[in-house]
Amino acid sequence: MNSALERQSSSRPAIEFDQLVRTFGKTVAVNRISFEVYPGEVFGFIGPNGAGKTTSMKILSTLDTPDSGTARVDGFCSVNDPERVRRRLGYMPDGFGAYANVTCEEYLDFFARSYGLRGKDRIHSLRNVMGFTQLDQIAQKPITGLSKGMKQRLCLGRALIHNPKVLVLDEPAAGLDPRARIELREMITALADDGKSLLISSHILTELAEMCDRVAIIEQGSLLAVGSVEEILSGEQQKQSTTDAESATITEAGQLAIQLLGNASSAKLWLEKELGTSVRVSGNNLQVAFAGNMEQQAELLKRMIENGFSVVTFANKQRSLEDAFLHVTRGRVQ
Amino acid sequence: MSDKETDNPKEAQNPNHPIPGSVSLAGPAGASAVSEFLVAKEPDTKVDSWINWISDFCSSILVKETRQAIKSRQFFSTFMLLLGGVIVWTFFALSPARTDYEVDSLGSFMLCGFLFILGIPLVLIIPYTTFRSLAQEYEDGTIDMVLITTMKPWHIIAGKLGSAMLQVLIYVAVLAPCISFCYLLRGVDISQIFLSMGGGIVVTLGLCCLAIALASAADTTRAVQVLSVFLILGLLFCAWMWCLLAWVICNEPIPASQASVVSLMISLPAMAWVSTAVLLFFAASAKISFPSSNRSTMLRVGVTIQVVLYAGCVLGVLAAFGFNKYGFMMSSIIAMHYLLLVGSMMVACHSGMSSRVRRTLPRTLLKRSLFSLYMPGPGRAFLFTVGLGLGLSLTLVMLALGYEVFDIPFDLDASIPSRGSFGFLDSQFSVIGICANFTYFLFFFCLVFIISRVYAWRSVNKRPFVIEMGILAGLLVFLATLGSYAIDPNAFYGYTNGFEGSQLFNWYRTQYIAVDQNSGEAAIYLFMLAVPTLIMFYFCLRWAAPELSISPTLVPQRVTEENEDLKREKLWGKDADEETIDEIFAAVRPGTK
Repeated sequence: MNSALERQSSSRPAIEFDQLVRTFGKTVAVNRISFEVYPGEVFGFIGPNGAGKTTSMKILSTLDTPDSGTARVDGFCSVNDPERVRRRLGYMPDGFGAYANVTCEEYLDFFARSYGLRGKDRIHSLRNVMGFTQLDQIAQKPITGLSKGMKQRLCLGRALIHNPKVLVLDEPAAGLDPRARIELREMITALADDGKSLLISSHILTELAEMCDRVAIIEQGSLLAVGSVEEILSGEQQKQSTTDAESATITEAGQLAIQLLGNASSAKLWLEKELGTSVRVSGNNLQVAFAGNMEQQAELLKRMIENGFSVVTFANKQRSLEDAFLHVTRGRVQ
Repeated sequence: MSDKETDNPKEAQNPNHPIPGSVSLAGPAGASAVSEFLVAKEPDTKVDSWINWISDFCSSILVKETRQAIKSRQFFSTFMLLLGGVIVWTFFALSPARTDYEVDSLGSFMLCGFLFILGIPLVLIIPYTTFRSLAQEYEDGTIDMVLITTMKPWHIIAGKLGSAMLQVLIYVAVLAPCISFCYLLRGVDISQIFLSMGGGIVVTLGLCCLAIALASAADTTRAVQVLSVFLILGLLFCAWMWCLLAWVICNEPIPASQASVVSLMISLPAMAWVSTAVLLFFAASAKISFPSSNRSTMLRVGVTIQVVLYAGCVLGVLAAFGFNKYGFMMSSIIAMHYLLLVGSMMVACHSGMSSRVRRTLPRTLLKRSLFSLYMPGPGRAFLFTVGLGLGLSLTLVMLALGYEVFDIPFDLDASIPSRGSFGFLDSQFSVIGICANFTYFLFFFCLVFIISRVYAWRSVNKRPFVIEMGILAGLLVFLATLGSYAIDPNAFYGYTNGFEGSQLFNWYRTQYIAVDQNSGEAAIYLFMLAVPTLIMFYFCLRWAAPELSISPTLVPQRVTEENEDLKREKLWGKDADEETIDEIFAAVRPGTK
């Protein structure tokens, strides 16, 4: 069957959300979101708590149904062809429900059987997954006693057991220590290199920035921005929300970070007079909104030194994904 | 190979292990790690490999549940309790200190005790653990992980039931030597042993189906708590009934002269029990299945089978014990109540039909009108239930008329004298009674249907409200039966003293007065009930009938594409692409190229 699936056109999006809407009573959890994820792409799904990320992922994973709109995996609708979607999709939820009296190996074996793997295929798949997630050392351990990191590995192993084309990972790094996070990130990168499409939601935005090819920012069920991390940072991302134009515009002036040896208050006054903008001071650090190019920055530094300010560092403050996220979202909850 | 030796993140991250499904990464290093793992996991013995091979044919849930159950403390405790109980009982039964020692009934005495002990796991523990096994999945959220696999919902339910029945077999096997010992003593027949063992298995099967159907409805913690209490109370009642049944089986040997009658009396409730268990199994499967899937057809098939079985049983019982008007009337009343209950739950489904189900609808309007009553939809459920009620009523009418008017012989047991008492008037009364029952059923069912549609229209979440409508139907019947007595308490005492209008909604009393006492007043009231029933039915029909004209949707192109690919794979093998197939064609038919 796999060969039949592989023959499908590679230009088809692996994941598609098209005007997806999901309400719970009067609360609109997901409000007309649309985007695509292509084969081999790692797509980050960012939003505050209650933004609608998990709901969207559950709809895609055939655990819920939308009120309107469609979610597709490899061209198959998650509502009308759930069996075909399930064959292609591995889902890792944010919570891990453990079975009592079951070892890691038995757990994965159960899911391998549940996905219809029989005989040698099952054993082969089990070995591969246990090897990839490095669970073979603890294969005979009961899962109830595993650490959070090991449980996440096991959960990832479960999502991978039937070799799906698409992986949906909901907060995979939540609660992990730094080593476990790095290992998880490397596993995700390896999976993407293998041609799998990944949709990942996370609160650890620095990690998403490193892993993801593209990201989408969602708040109150509405999509605010979609694009590559660079596009999002530069403010050139696709404008998504038509209902809230204010939140869709994230372009802003560049920031300069200046560190002095002292005399920060007089430097603040001087800069405000020279540039006509407000300057933020924190100890000996100044933060200035400055829209000039490299030459203009060099000129400003020269003049500061000429005016007797002891400049230790003078640098463009890089906008991070966190900055962009904070700028785009308003921290609204519903 | 260290991280520094390669730029490939895959190799750096996992030098020894291939990515699942990836052939390219299964290099020598990966192979060595795999072989280590292989050595560790090779089956120890031939028995192990046989078990592995057999388990490939079993449901994954069955394998998992059995593994879990056998390792659980509950299983160990129950097993030890059973063994301990059996030993204690054996010593007690054979104790020389007993004063009521009777050699002739020692076998039945001991068997009775063993059955009481067996009832604890069979009637109490196994059904409750079956309930917990599914309820726990909802509580822990593991059910979601199971539901997104490619397993069908009925596989999940069957796996859990299978595991429960496997435990039943283990417990029965534990008791088998003791029961064999009872047979060697006096006072026990082989039929009693088979009946008790078979009865135990059938009773547990039904209770497990009930428990799992309840668990499938318990998707919140509060629902689990409430249903747990009801289930435990119900199981305690069943345990008491089991003890009674065990006592009857052990102490009332079946005389050979009444074997056929007793078999009928045993097989009828057994058939009803098993068919209800099957229906509950379908209900549980439907409850956990995906919302867009067809949850109705199997349930409606199950209901139809039950109704057909019921009609057959009515015929069998009436033929065996003699035709009489009360038999017909009671049969009709029971059937109509049953249909009211299941019909009310069926009309509570979501009113929209998913595109997925619409794909499977018949293509022509005529076929849809004739064959789509088994498809989902409240309107179809209404028409299906009314149709079934009408069909059953007509069957009973035909039976009643057929006996006397058409002189159809029912000579199953001519020796029973009461058979001859059924006359033309009796058949006439029976027909009136059956029609009255159908009118009552239609009145209440139309009422439930109207309420359900208004409820669905006002509902915000648009979810099925099966439980609510089931309770409403039960309440209506309860009020109809007892409400008239509440309005007119004299009706309790004046059983034969005429008929009041307030008693109209009492199915039993109105029929009894109208049919048996030939009361004109009651007949007029029945006629008066028929008028609003027909009006309501007209409106319900107008509400329900448009569902039959819903047209089917086309199969999406992506699905067609994949189906064709799969078909090609099946015909030509996995690795055959289109070019290869063309080449094969060219070879088979020269000149094609």
